[in-house]
Amino acid sequence: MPDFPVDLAELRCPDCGTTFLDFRRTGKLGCPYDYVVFRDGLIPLLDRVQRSQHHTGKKPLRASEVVEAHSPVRALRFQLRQAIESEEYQQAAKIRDLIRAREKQNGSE
Amino acid sequence: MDLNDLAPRNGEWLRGDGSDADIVISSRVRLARNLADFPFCSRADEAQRRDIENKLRTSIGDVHGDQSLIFFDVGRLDDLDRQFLVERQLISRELASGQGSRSVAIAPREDVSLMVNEEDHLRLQVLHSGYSVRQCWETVNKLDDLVEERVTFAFSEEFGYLTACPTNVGTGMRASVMLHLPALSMTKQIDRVFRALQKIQLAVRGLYGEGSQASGDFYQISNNITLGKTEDAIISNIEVVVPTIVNYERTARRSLIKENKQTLHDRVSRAYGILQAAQTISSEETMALLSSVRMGVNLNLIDDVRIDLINDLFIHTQPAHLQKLEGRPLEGEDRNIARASYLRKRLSEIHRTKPPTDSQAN
Repeated sequence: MPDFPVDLAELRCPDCGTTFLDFRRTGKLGCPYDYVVFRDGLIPLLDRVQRSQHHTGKKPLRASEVVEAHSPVRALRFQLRQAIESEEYQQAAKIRDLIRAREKQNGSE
Repeated sequence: MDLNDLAPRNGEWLRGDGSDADIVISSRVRLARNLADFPFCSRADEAQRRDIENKLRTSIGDVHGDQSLIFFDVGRLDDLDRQFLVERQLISRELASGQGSRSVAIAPREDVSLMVNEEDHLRLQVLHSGYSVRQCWETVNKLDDLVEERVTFAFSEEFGYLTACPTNVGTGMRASVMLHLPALSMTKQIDRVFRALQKIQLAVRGLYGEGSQASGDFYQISNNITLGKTEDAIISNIEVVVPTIVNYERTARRSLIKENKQTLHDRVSRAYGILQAAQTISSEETMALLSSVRMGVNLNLIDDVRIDLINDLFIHTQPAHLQKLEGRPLEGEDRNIARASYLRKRLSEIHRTKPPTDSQAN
């Protein structure tokens, strides 16, 4: 059985459509933005595999905007909108809870 | 440049020079990079793969200064050509066996290879003969800077360079050194060395990377960790370890000579004898025997064959190289017969100019 919360398993990247479960099955992420969407699931994994959570090496001359321009909450809001549009209300409720939890964690947003 | 023109040469990784070249075969550093505005390769459709390819192709075409790169559309090459590039360490097995648009740009000296649409959009590799892993990093770092002037790579402050597989995220760097360790294998000390390496987060692989066997006693040592360490720290970690392993191998060779010279000399000479006389021989057996002979030459137990010839034979007796050199497709037993005949021919040529000497007295 998966060793991560169900909420996480069903999380889907709005950019590429990959779910966290897809990633756990194949070991491969779908797009750069997955690092934002699946951040909570990736951190314990990176801790285990890489024994670190933070990059300390080379930085590009220009930072890429795709990833920096998105915040995790913004990504979740995007997903929420999609879920509502496709009438997946159960999924929408889960995402809403995730957003609330994240906002609480961040103080305000 | 045609791939057939490469076949008679032995490429960069087996050129056989550089420091400690008797044990350190080659050094390599590769960087994994992805374009910020595309999905990773496994999620990209064919149109996106072609876009990625076009974008990168125009961006990497002239990064190598006056030594212009040669592009190969890997998807359009036949199986033999793909296998040939794998044998020369110019493309990975993943790129060879992949699907869809994918390509490689190679420097004529074969020290630079840029793979497009492998697991990541771009994999930059610099490969040098002998022990020069830091030099490889410096070169690949410059190439990376040049490509970066033209494209935007997926990067986050938190996780660094973003890769399809989180095992590469951060620096995206894999630094590796290929070692020839026949004495440590023979004396069964190799497992102990590997366990020690694993403790300091270094991986050990065979000749052709992940999952491949250590044929010919060739072992690749590389960093496991790509996140949370600087590129410099990763290289330094390898630089600390390699001289130690080289010393272990030298000590193991010395003690074999000291304690068991007859046995060692016999083993090396028999290996040499089989290679000169066999009528059919597999690739695996060839690698094992060449490994013994290579060590024998380095220890002056065999004195009538040069190390470059042995290095040559390692690559030229690989399945795709053999077929290129013979100029015809060869399967199964036919290939083993052709390999044996090729070995006899190459090893007898050395005696044409110089009469065979009795292998040195004990």
